[in-house]
Amino acid sequence: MKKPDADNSLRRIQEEIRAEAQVARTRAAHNPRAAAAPRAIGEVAPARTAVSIDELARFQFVEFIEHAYSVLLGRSPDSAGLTGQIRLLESGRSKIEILGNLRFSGEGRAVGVRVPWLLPRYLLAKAMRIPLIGYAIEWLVCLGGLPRLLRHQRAADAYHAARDHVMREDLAVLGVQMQPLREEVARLDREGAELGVQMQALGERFAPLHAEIGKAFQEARELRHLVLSMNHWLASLRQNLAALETAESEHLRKADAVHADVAVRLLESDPQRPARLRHWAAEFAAGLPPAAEVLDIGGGLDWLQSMSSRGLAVTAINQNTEIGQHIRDAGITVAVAEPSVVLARIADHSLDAVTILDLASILRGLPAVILLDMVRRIVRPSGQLLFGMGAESATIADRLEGRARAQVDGELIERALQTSGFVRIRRVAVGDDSYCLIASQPN
Amino acid sequence: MKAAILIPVLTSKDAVGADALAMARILDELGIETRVFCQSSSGVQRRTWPAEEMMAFAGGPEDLVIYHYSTGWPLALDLLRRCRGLRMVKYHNITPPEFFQAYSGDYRTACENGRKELEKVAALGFEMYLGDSSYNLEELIAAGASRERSHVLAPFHRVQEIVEAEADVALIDALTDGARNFLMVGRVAPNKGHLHLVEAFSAYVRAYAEPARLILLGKVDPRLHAYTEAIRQRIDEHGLGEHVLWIDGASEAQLKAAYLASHVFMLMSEHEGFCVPLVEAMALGTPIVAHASSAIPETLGDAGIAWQEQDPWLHAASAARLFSDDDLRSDLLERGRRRYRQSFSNDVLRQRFVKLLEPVL
Repeated sequence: MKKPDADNSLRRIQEEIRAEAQVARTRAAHNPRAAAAPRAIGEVAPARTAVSIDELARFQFVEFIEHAYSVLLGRSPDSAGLTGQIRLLESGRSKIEILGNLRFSGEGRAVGVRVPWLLPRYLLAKAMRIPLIGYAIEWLVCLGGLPRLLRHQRAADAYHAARDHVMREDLAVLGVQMQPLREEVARLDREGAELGVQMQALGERFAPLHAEIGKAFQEARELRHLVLSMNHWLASLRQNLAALETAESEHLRKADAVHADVAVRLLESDPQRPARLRHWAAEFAAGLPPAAEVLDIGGGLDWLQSMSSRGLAVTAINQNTEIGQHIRDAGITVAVAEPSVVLARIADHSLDAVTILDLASILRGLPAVILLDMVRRIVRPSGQLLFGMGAESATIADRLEGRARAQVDGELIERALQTSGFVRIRRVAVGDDSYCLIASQPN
Repeated sequence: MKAAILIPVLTSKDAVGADALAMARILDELGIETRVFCQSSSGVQRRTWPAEEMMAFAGGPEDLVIYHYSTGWPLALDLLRRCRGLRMVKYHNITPPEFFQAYSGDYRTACENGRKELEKVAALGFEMYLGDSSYNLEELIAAGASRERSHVLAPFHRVQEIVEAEADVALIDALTDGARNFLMVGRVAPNKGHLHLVEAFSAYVRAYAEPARLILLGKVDPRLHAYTEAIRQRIDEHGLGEHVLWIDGASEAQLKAAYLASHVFMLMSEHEGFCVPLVEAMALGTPIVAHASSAIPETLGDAGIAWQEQDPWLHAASAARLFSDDDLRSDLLERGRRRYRQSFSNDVLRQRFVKLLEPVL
C-alpha cells in the first residue's frame, strides 16, 4: 500500500528536478561561475597487492617467468626479458634472484607488489655474487642449511623412488596394453597392403572408364556449346517475330481506325438509319421482358444505344478495335474478338436475345447453320433473334478491303430460321429497302 | 552426471568470469563434478581445461554444459552442436559494433562477429536460455530462441567480497576534502557514455559553483586510445582537467574506497546488458543517477533517479537535489540496499539458479 505513495513522491521530485534543471541551465548561461577545483590528488597508484614467495616460486621455468612478470610487473614478458631470465635460470641462478630482479627493478618498484621476505633473501642471493666474500657466504649458508638440505634430499629420494615405482608399474601396464595394439597395427598393415593391391586392380579397371568419361565430358561440352548457340539463335528469332507481330498489330489497328471512320461517315450519310433503328428496337423490345439480357454482334454504337434506351441490358461483340473502344467509352460491355470464339464460350440458355445487324459480314466467317445452332443454344426459351438486312459497317469493311459486296438472301435466311426451329418469324420494315427479321425461340 | 562451464576467456575480475566461476562453485557444492573449459585464463585459482577437451568430459546424454556467450566463438558453437546432454546458454550481451565505429576497427569487427552468432545460438535449440536481464533475453528471443525455455538470471558477482574487503583508507582521506565526488565505474569504452558524463559534470560545476570531482574508475584500454583521448579533450574543452581523477586498474580496496567516498554514482552508459556497478553502488550505499538506456532501468528499478533523456542539466540537477535533500538520499539508499538484498544478493541468485537446474538434477 505504501509503494504508490513512494512512486508518486519520486515522480513529484523528478518534476521538481526537471524544473530545477531549467533554472540551472539559465543560471549557467547568464552568470557562469567557475567552481573551485578540488584538492589535487595526483595519480592514484595502481592496485598494490601482496603475494608470497611460495606462490611465485611454485611454477617452473618459462611458466615461472611469465607468472612472475604478470604478478610483479602486471604484463607479459617482452622477448628480450624472457630470453634473459631463461638464460639466468639455465645458468643456475635461484628463483629468488630472478624474482628480486623483477620486483626491485624501476618498473617493479613503480607497480609495488608486496612480496614478504623477498628483500632479505634477494640481498642474500646478491651477496653470494660478490667475489670471495660471496663464496664464503654461500658456504656458510650451505653449511647452515645442510640439515634442511639433507631432509629435502631424503624427501626427494623417497619421492623419486615412489615415482619410479609408479612409472615402472605404469610402463608394465602400458606394455601389456600395447601388445594387442601392436597386433592390431600389424593386422591393419596387412589389410592396408591388401587394399593397396585391390586399389591398383580397380585403378586399372577404371582406366578405360575414365577415358570414356573424359570423351563423354568432351562431347557434353560441345553439346552444351551447341545448345547455347541454339538458345542464342532462338532468342534472336523470338525478338524478330515479336517485332513483326508488333508491326502487324500496328497495321491492323490503323486499318481498324480507317474502317471505323469510313463506316461512321457512310452510315451518317444514311438519313433513314436513326428512325429505322428506333423502330426496330421498339419492335424488338416489345417481345422481351424488362431488362432483358441482349447480345449484339457487330452492330454500331447507335444501335446499342437504341436498345439500351429501351431498358435492355446490352453487351456487344465487335471485331473492330476502334469501334470496340467507342462502345466501351459509352459504358457498354464489349468483347473485341472473333464472334464464333465468344459465342462458343457462352453458357446454354443464358441470354434473352441476340441481334446481328450486319448478317452478311458474320456469315463470311461463320456458316449460317452453325450460327443459328449457336444462337438456339444460348438463347432462353421464348427469347428472340434479330437479323438486319442492310448495308452495315462490317460489310463496308469488306468492300474497303477489296472483297465483293456481300449479299444475303432474306428469303433463304427465313427458311433457314424455320428449319432451325425458330418460330414467329416476321419482317419489320420502315419503308426503305432495309428490313430486319425477328424470330423467337419456341417455349 | 558431469557439468562443463564453457567460456572463451576466464578472468576473475571480469563480470562474465565472476558469473562463470560462481556457477562452477555452486555445481561443485551440489556434488556435480564440474570443470571450466576455455581458450585462456588469467588470475584465477581454479584449474581450467582447453575447450577442445570438453566433449570428452561432458559430451554425453546425462551431462550439463553451460555456455557463457559474450563474444563470437565459432569453436563453442561447433562443440555445442555435438553435445548430447542438457545445454544452457547464458547471454551476457554484446556491445553493438556502431559504438566502436569511430574508435577501433578491431573492436567493431569483434562485436560484429559476436552479434552475427546470435541467430546461430538461437537456432541451436538449447534446452535453456538464460539472460542477465530480460533486455538480453528479448534479443535472444527476437533472434529465434524459444520464449518458453528462456529465463532471466542476473549474473553472480563479487559484490559481497568488495563489501567485506578493507577499503583503501588513504584514498578515502584524499577524497574527503569537501568536494562533491561524482563516481563512474566501468571500463573506458565508447558505450559507457563518458562524453555525456563529462557534459553532465560540467553542467553541475557551471550551475552550482561548488567544488566537485569526477572520478573515472575503470580499465583504460590502449586499443581504445582514440576514445580515451576524446574524453580527455572534452575535459580540457570544459577546463575541468583539475576536477577529474582517473583510477586505472583499481584494487578492491580502492574500488570500495571510491564508492564510500563518493556522493553520487552517475551512470550515463548507452548500452548495458546488466551493469554490475549499479549493484555495487546499491550494496555500498552510493546514491545513483543514471541514463535509462538498455538494461539499466531493469537493474536499477526504483533504487535511483533515472532519465530517458541524455540531458546533462537534468543529471546535474538530480545530483544537486541528492546533495541537498537528506530524505531523498536516505530513501534511495534504503531502496538500493533492499533491492540488492531481495533481488541481487548471491544467495538469492543461487536459489534461483538451483531452482532452474532442478529438472535436470
